[in-house]
Amino acid sequence: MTADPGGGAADGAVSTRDSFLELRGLAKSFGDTRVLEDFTLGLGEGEILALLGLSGSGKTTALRLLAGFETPDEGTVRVGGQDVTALSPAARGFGMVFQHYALFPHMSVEQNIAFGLEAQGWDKGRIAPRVDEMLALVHLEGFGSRRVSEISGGQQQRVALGRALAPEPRLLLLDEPLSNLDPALRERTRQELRAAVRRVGITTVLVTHEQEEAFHVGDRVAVLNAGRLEQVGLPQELYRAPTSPFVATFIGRSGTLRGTLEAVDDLGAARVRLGDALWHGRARGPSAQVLARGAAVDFVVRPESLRLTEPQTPDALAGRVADHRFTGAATFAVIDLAVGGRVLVSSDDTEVGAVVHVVPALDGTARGGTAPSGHGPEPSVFPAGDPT
Amino acid sequence: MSPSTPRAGARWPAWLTAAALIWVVGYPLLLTLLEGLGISPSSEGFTLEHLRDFATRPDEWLALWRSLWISLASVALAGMVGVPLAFIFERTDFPGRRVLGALMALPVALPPLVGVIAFLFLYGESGFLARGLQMLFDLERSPWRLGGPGAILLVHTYSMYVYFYLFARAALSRLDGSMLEAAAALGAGRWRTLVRVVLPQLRPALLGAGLLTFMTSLGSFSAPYIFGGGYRVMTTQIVASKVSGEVALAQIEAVVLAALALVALWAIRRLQGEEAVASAHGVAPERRTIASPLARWGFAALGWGLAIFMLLPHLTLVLISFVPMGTWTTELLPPELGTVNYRELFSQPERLRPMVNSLWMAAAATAGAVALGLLAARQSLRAGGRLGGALEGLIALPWAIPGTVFAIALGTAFSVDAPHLLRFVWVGTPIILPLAYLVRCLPITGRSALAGLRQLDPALEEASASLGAGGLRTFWRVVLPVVRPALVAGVGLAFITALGDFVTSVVLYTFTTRPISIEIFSALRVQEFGVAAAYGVLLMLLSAAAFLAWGRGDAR
Repeated sequence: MTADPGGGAADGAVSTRDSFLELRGLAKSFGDTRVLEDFTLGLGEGEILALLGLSGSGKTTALRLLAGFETPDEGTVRVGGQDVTALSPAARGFGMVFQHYALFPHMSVEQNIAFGLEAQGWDKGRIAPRVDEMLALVHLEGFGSRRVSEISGGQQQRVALGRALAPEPRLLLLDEPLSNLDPALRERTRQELRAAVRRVGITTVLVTHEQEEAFHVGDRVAVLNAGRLEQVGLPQELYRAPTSPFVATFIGRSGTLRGTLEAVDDLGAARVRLGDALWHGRARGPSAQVLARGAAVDFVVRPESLRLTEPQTPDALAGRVADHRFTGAATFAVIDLAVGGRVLVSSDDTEVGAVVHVVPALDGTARGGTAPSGHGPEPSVFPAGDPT
Repeated sequence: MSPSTPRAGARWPAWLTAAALIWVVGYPLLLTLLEGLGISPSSEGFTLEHLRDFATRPDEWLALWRSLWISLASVALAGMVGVPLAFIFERTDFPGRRVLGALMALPVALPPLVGVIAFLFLYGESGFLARGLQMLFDLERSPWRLGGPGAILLVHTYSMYVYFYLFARAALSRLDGSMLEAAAALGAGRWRTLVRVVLPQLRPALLGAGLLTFMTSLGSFSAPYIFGGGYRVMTTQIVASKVSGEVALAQIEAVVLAALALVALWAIRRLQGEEAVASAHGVAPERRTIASPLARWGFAALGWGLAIFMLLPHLTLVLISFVPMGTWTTELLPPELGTVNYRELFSQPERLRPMVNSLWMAAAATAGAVALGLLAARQSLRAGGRLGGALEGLIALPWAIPGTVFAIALGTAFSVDAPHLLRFVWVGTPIILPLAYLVRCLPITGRSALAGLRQLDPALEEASASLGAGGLRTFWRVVLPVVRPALVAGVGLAFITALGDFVTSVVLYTFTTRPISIEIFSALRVQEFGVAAAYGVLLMLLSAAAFLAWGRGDAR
């Protein structure tokens, strides 16, 4: 990642990776409900972080604490070394794009973009050129005098982005900025959003419930669940090496099997007994330390880490095809295993109701696999939780 | 650094607003009760004497009973006129429907006193109709006297059917057409559909209109004052007591009427209960276009006839205003017409003065009511919870309390010099009438401010704050422009109410601050009908202008 080349307003504060924006121990309750707990996170300057979670996970609250619309019960927000926890939203100097854009309906596109510049006391002479610059950035040249009700949803989204970026904020906050667009428009707008933010080079936090959006726009992705930060990492890390059962099942497709831990080493490499078979996986995350031989575990496996095989193959598990799931790029057979649990395996020639056998098909990083070839990530092993 | 916006949680502005509202709305009512019971700096101490007076006099109970039954009868009559009209104008289509439909709502925009004198000129014993019949049948005397409860009810029906008409029309236009189709598909005939499907859907609207009519009737003053004669209802009884110097009795009467109004409000609200208001999906049903040309013109004729009938009193008023004084005695039509009355209004300073008074006092009251209503509405929504609810209740309270009661209450509170109790001698000064108008207009402006602010997306304010705008800039540049259309509606209505006010003015005016309504009334007394009518027409025109401004603001 490169540092911010032009825009932004870091005020020359010393900032290294993971320290330009620091959120430490943020907590917030509404009434008796704890919506955010011990939220700690750091962003480097110019980094784009996607905050991913289901509705009610606390991601919007986290963003609002960051913006200053809510006051945290505990914790601090620091930007470029300055503690802004007690500052009003107006004094923070952050730009924000709202879910429904919150464009001022009684103003033109230009007036919307100029609003923040006027509020922050820019010289009259500098305002018009800056507005033009923003219109160009979001490809809306010539739309300046339109009323915001006269332009399309995608254009409104771009005006909102231009308005937020115009006063050269030091941080950009995006609250589900694409959720109001048609699916067809969303993909393209996402490209443009990412390109515009990249060009400005501003440190950005994006809140979304869409994995694809988070993976595409975010340099790193933070997964929130029930008010707690589950994992922060590169998209590939979250997919291949989830550190919690939630992330393992929330990100991408997977199947979960209940088994017994036969052995685990210091690096987390684990052997799990599933009926008569022994499958290999890896214990990850904070729970890895507490796993002991004989413990009941959940074995979470991706479809591409499994393949169909002959009945006599060692360590194969038998199951029945319950359904097919067609996704365009691939067709998955949904298999209910005899040992319990349901997995997905890539296959387009099995019949529903047929009895089949599956074995792991791991790539080179997996050790001691039972299969000679394969390409899937190593399955994850967690202490057995509530069956889901 | 820009000034910080108020963070959620700062509650002192809400408390301060509540205190201001209590001072002008609640405190005067409380003082009225206390002084009625003899508890005041100037009186002898606690006494139940005046209360006993009230309770033992039969005419007090009679006035109370009359207020009650006249209000109930007004609801029934106004409903019987307004609801069928709503069906005619909303569910059928005929030439001229739009214009006539709008005209039918006109009486709501006219000051009550103007309606009353227009009625007097048309249906009164020396009015047009009586005069015509007298000549037609060569009668010695006028065939009737317009007075007593019948006349009051006639005026009430005429001016209050509009509530039913407007509410029922709005509800009918929100009706989901597919619901009627569903009823038809299930085999229900037109009558069954009306009774089982349509009317239950109208229930909330009809209850709302009924409540409005009841409360308006209970506080009605102009009609009973001018037509009632010796037939006293509570409002006229209060003013009579005040005029005859029985101030403590007037205070007790005011408190009793206020209590009756609040009990009625509570009872009707209970009746409304948790209405299962069907959320309006789908589209309104098609209007029934009358196919047969004969029926079409029949409906059109009916519509036009009704509209002319409704406008006839006001047309009469316009005619009378052009009749020079003393020229019209026994003829059916005035023999002479001219603009002498109007010239007199504008050439004589003493005649001009009431108009100037009314205009500045109404403008000042409206401005104050808008500012206070907006402030209170914003603080109410910000504070939420009990405090927010209390603020909303304080805004609405003057709506439920009859104007006569407020006049007595403000007169009580602000005729004593006790600054440490926040009481000042404002009675007899130019402050008291605008203040009274302000209090009366507060529910109107407050309600429109609440409606506007409720529609305001909170994200707009957050967006403004995130762009670095302080609280004041956000309010002026974002909040105010967005709620303005809703606010404008309230401004027009508040201005009309203040401009045409008679009920509080008659209690609190002085010679130098007398408004148009008082001047109309005194012109009537000395038989200067032309001058009274000319004032009435001017009031009507000013109100119509404000009404139009309001309508336009609404449409935006």
